[in-house]
Amino acid sequence: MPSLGSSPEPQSSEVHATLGDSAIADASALTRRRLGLPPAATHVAEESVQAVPNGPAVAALLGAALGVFAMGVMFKLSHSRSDLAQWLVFREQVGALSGLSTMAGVVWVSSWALLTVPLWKRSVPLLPVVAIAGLLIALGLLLTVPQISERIEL
Amino acid sequence: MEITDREIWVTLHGFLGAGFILAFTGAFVGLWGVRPGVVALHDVRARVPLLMAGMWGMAAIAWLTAIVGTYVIFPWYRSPPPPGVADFSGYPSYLLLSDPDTKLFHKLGMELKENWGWMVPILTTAVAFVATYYGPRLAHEQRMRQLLMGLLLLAFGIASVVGIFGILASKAAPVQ
Repeated sequence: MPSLGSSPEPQSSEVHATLGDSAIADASALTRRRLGLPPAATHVAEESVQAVPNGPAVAALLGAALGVFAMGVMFKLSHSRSDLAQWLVFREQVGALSGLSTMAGVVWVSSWALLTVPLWKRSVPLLPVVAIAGLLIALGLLLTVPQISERIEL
Repeated sequence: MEITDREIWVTLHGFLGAGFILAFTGAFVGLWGVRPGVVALHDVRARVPLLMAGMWGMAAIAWLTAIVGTYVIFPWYRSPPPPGVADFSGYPSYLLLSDPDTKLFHKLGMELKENWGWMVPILTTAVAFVATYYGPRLAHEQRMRQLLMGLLLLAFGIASVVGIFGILASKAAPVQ
């Protein structure tokens, strides 16, 4: 193992790297060189970097967002429609929350499964997915705030 | 001093929720750290299984917290007092609603807690699944990793709000 003293002096550009991802990477590489360690792999092994379709991941994320959204919509509807509120009472002691949580789970799992089928071997642009999922989650969260939900007519 | 069965369940519920919040930092830093140039190949391979275990552990804790909160504690919280009873101390939701100063704990805090509490395990499970799906490849999926970090942060934020309302409601009208 080479001694620390024999390691090459760092270049000024390495020392004056700006903070951020590249600076951290530079610092890591520099430290490794000074300690006589082999360079950190800048890529994971060949077999593990082969691109995989993002479809299954997108299906999981959109499914979760739909589950959250469904919870918000059902909460809103259960407060404006007494027949739905009554139907959602799956367990008397828990009240409508038992049905709300169960149905949100059903929507989540089924939409995840249904979306997985067409997306299984496909890759889709991530940005629209982020926008849709973000919107669904935001609406789901807002619709479960009673003070907001009461002001919305459905 | 005696601890009732109900107080034991409430304490367990609180511990589980606190466990989720404590685990967040580890999972978040774990996701942040799995990237090329910073972590060597053998480090990625060593870290990823640990990260997966942590993620699924968080999801399991979140599910347990929601299930215990909804199906064990919530019925005690919402149970109505028998007719003619004026002392609501054993009936937390009625106790909160009877006082204008604590009414909002129920009307906003508990309503949010009931629903948002179920969103945390859904979001965390999705994050755990996606992280598992990519495995060590996550090191090369910068956008996806950032998205997972964002979702995990959101789940943490929701869990924190839910936890704070739980503490406030429990302080004002304990389930006992």
